[in-house]
Amino acid sequence: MLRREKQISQEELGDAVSVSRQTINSLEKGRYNPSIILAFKLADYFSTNIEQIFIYEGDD
Amino acid sequence: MKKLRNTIIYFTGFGLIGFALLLFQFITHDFENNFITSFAITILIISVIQIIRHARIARDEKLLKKYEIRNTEERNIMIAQKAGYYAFLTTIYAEMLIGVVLMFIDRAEMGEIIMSVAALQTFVYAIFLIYLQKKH
Repeated sequence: MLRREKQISQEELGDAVSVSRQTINSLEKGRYNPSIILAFKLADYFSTNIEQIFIYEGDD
Repeated sequence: MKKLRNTIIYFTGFGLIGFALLLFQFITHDFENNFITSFAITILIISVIQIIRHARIARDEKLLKKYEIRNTEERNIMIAQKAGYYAFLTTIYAEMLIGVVLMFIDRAEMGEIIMSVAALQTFVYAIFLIYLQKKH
């Protein structure tokens, strides 16, 4: 997982992209689909592209 | 920060209304009207608590960041919208159920009023739905 590779907490990542720790937790557990803006912010933070972080798995 | 300032202004106004009501009660010596007195005290206390809470947030940078995240974060907005929608649906169904029950226990007039409120809520919902569909 990118966050663990970077050795940062959910709280720190949340602060960096202006969301709460709970949102990062929901994203990691796959319970929440982010907006395109948040996806871009996360990709930008990890200096990568969206496809490296999120995988499209159909309409479910 | 703007939202925080507006909230403090809002609660200051709210508190002033409570204080004015309480003052009015003192001037008119109308203490028998317990409803207005307790209403005034309640909104005054709520306002003071909220002003203190928001002033504390405004002074603390960490709390301010958390406050801003809480109010602007997309997941929180989505959750609030869902909660509002579920609350709306639940109250509509509850009103309809209560309306039907009242009609069966010979309180038809009250039942009709409750059913009318449910119908009005649904009508307002439909209007907003059409408006927002056209807007976005």
